[in-house]
Amino acid sequence: MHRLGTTYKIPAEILTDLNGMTDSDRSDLIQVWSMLSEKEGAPSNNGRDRVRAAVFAEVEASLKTSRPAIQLPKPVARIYSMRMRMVSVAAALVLGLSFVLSPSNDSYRVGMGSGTMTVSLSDGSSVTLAPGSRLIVPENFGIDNRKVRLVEGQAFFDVKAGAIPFEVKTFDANTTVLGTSFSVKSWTGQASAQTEVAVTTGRVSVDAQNNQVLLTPGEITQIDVDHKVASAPAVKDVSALNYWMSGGFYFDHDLVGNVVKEIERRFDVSIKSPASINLRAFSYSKAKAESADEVLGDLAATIGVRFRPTANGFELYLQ
Amino acid sequence: MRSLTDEQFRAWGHGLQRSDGTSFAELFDATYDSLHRYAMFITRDSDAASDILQDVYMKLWRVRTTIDPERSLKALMYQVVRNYALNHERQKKRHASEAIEADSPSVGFDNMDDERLDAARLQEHMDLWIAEMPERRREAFMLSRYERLSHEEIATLMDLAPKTVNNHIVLALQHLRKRLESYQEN
Repeated sequence: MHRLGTTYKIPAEILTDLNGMTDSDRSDLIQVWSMLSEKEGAPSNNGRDRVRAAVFAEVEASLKTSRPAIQLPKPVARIYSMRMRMVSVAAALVLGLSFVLSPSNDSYRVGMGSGTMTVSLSDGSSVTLAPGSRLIVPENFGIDNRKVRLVEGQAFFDVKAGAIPFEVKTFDANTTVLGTSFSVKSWTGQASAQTEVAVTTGRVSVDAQNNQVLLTPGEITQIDVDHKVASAPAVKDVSALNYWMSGGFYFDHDLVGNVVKEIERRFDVSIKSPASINLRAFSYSKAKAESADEVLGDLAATIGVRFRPTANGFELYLQ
Repeated sequence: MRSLTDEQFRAWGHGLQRSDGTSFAELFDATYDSLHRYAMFITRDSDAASDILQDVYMKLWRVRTTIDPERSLKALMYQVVRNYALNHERQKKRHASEAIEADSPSVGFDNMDDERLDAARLQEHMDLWIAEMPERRREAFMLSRYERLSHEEIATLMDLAPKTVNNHIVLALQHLRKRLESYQEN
């Protein structure tokens, strides 16, 4: 029998307190234990470098912009004052490092449950971001380009007219404008993730991989995930789509799973909901909601399920 | 992770609370491989395990100020990995068409002397025998044997009585012993 260099002894508790085990049984089990080779070290393909890069990009971003410590309804954050405000002694060291590592971008992340955040850009445009959103503004923004990336989330852009086109990149579309106001919704990592663009004023061009559509005020388009095309412009109540900016909600035949995620982001709660509920559709419109249980109450009543509080949030369940 | 002390985790916990990126980087480097292995026990998919860990570490960073450094950060991390991995499994079952690939790294037998060949072969069999155990038994066993978690830690993590954890591990060992015996007879 080969001993394979095992050093980890069997914990005593495993072999005590067992009735009907003979000494020879015991020693057999100890032997089996010792024959198992250690799973030391990591296989080279465990994704460590990739994950490390992704995680620390976010860590640096959050150290740069920080999340608002106090919940303000609409904090107006200018890039430079933002930077200064959050420089604490503890963060200063890491901050210095993060500038060296990624010198070119300003990254904004809005914390869960912390209200919307408004960012004033150097060209005079402004962006209002929903809780949980991430926006990256390149350092040379406003000089030779006006491109921003909405990594994930929901944002309302009020764009100052200018000679350089203003461009919003999302994972599946580019939205280009000259001077207008419009919103972009692009929550990744949820069921039927797709970018949705809605125009309040002006004209907006949306490029998907396979086509381009032009939107005028009151129109929306959505990117079809499978065919990578932007849908034909549809007329919608665009002001309702922007209820989120005043703390409200608007859903139009959305999956309950996505609704639940939206409530989690807004109020920073955790909501458990089984697949049987998540896959139902839900339509809802409310200009302002104060709490998660208010919205959940409406949701539960509408689709005929129940909800109850849990240790760190809520749970939806069937009767 | 197994050789890390509770004090070390406590220090990292305090570091996280004051948003110290260096502590977080150390914590990441010290825990990634173990947690990846654990996520693999549950998902048996290395890429999925990496994705899960990315979410876990990001989540950990987001909630850093709410962490109580005096409570076990190690237990917390295993717990979050477990929740996310089980969630992932549930979602995968929903997309049942997706093929589930068994993870069986092939071992190259070239240039190995007989004795090492036997040993490698045996380990491969061991891995297969471990894989055929019921899910929860396998999880309890691997946490104990490979991640060196105490019975108490496993019990909390898996929401079991410590006695049940012990039963799982003993049954797992007995299962391996039976397989070994018939293997050695052939």
